[in-house]
Amino acid sequence: MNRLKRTDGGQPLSINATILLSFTLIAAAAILITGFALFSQFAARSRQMMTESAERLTERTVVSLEDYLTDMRQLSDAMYYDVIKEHDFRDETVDTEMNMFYESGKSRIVSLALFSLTGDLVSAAPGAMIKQGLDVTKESWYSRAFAEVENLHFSLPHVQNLFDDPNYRYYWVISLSRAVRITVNGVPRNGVLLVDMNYSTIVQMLDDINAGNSTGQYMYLTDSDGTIIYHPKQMQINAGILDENNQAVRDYDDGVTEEVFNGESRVVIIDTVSYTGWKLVSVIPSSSFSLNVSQMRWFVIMVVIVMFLAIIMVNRGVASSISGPVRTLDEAVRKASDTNPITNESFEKGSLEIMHLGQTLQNYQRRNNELMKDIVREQEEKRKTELDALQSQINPHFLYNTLDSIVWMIESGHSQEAVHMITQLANIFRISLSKGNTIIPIEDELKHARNYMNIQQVRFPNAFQVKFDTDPELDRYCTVKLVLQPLLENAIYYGVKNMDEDGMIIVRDWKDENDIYISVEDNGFGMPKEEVEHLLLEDRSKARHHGSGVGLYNVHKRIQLWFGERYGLRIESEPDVGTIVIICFPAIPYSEETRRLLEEGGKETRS
Amino acid sequence: MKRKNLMSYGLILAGIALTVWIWSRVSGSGLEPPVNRYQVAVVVSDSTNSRWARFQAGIEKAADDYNISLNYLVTSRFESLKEEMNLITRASAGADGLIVQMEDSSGIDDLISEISRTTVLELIGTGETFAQEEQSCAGIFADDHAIGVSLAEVILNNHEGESGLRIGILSGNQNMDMMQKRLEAFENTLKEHGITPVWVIPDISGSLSESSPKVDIVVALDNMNLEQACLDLRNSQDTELYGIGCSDMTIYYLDRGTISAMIVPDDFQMGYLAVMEVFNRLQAPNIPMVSREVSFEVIDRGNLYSAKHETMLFPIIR
Repeated sequence: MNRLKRTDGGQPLSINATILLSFTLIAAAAILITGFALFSQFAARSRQMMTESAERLTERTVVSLEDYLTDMRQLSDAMYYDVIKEHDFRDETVDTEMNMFYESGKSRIVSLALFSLTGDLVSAAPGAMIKQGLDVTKESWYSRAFAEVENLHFSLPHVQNLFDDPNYRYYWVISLSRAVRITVNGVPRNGVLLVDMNYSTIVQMLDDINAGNSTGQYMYLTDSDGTIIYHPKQMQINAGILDENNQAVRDYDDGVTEEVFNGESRVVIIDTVSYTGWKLVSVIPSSSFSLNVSQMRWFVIMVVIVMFLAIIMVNRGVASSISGPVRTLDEAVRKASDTNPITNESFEKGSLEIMHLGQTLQNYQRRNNELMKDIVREQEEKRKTELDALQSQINPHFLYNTLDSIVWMIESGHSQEAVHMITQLANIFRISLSKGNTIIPIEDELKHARNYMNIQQVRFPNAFQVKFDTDPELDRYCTVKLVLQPLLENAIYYGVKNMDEDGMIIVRDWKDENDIYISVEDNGFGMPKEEVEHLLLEDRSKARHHGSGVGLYNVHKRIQLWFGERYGLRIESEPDVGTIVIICFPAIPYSEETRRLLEEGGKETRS
Repeated sequence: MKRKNLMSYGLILAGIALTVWIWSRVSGSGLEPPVNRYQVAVVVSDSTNSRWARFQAGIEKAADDYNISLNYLVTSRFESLKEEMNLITRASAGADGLIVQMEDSSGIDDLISEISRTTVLELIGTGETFAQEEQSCAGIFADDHAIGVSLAEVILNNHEGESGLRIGILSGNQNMDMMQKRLEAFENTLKEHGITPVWVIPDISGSLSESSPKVDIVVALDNMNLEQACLDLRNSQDTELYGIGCSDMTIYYLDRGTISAMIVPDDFQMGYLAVMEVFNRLQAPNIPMVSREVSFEVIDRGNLYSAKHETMLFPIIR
């Protein structure tokens, strides 16, 4: 079947494809929008949760730092108020007490030291030798102590530069210094109490927190000016390999801030450590948020894929359920014919509209078939009319000749022959009439032929002989009446009429598989091959010298009209040898019912 | 159902099953991509000496940042080139990258060519000469010529206006390219000011005061000689000591005043950049390796505790 095309040349889609495509596109769009919305919502929520979590962690860390720094201040307070103020350094030392304080907190402090106003070491723990030539008054922690005597001062991390360590060890410390009053001989003098806090305690504390985060989030600590006190990548920063946006922190207030640093946006959470003004900075790079939501992203993608595939599967089912009845009906309409009607099964599983459409098409087909049958019937009638006309072409011709012979016999006193002729003629007409039937048993047709030949032998005495070599078993098969007479007539008039007793006409019948053959053979003058070829053509002008051929053509046409194109006459002839004309038609056992069906049912019943 | 429909549904169900399977695999592993950790071996002479502490801190930080599995070989001081070459050959087996300090710069071209065909090779200190960018080999180094010049200039500045300075030089291993450059630059700078070293010896055998003529200034061009000179001269009042070093011991004697001034290459940076360069090469084999130069500082007792020098000299928090 040719593919249908639109007027613009495009290929139209099937209903199934249209439904599947449109449903799938709509569903895909809905899934994608929903997935994107859910993912965005999750990402925003995740970002918020991460930020809140970082805020809580920052707060807890600041509390830990404050606890540590408060411990150090309390240690300094205890050393000052409970020990230094209670001693007169003229003849007393505080080495024992200072050692006790050192021992109690040595995991967090590197040393304790008390210096006079001139920078001389008054007492220190642990006991160590101060570096030669060292002038502590030039140290920043010393000068800051006197700058604000009422306060305790925390320095930035630095390498301790106080004591000589022959093991080449140097310690990073944060110096907690304060101005103190040292009583010597009852006279209070100024001095500085120095607690060198172990910087590694802070480093360890913040390293542990940073190590617990694998998403790129980290914390660092600055003083109020933004100078880094601790950073997980401090060595890289010091070496100039990495950098940090610590200077910007100076201007940030406590809370959550967003910034862009080195092209990357990040969330920064600031919390100030009380007393020191240090700022703990928690940094969440945008990549951390991405890492956090990456699993969700995969999950959403997976769900979208599964849903999409499931939707395709469901859509196929929906499309099939909608288009299936249409396709079934379409198929039924395509295959519909007068013998293959549109059945109820082709639309009864469809929707109301499909059923309505199916019934309408069914009605149209039924009406169409009826119209077709009417046309066929009309054609049949027309054919029968034509047959009758062809049949009627025989009777006058033969009747005239026979009656002429009878007249001749009566006039010449051959009354017995005349009676015989009239009897034979009566039989002929009886069979010709056959109660108006066209289909008769072969037996009757052969009788008719014999009667006819009897009359002709009277008309042409001693001109030829007739022999009927027929099979009695074939007598009760159907044939169209009056098919043999024209053949015999031709055999007589164009074959043996002038052969003076040498002429012979033989009538045979036989059955071959499903067909029956009746032949009329004569040993007359015969015909050339090219003349034979034109005998059964409608245009028989070339066979005109051998008679009109109307009889043969009529028989041939009648058989074909009744039984189909593959049946009819076959003629074989050779000049001076003779002619054989064979009638072929289907072997249909004769009964009244068969006859009726053949005559009423038309050609399709016969075949 | 038609065969075609059955196949379609089968394919869709297979797609769903495949997606769920992939998801279960991916979610089970925490979505972490397979970790491909490069193996990098480090071979330096006398690797446990504190002179490598800053360098080691640098490579460890970089290894941590770039997720590299580091194999820092424990070695004693190399006694011969053959010993070192054997060690390097062994260390290169199975390693993706190799960071090497060559104790002897002569006759190692073939070894470098051979190793760098299969292993990314980073040469420490002597890289400028051997850096072959078309191969997987580059160097990282301080500018030894500039170091030699700077050391001479420090001495000249500290003794400006003085004449007849008697200087002895502990030149170190002159088979090393870097040591040759330091000595050459140092001597040339002195010569420009009319000073010729009283002696130039590779190292101290026995005691410095016994083995060499007395000088005003002893200059050690490498850390090992500087440490030895510190021990010899720590109580000396009339001999100044200058040198190039980086160990805790030399820093201590600089702090004490035994060493008047010292030049310290940034070993942390050197270690970090060496690992980074190896990593970059392993990540992008088609990009030529680049030799890098690290900075150095002239440090004396007055600026030892400056913030800048503190972070350079004491990168490790104790």
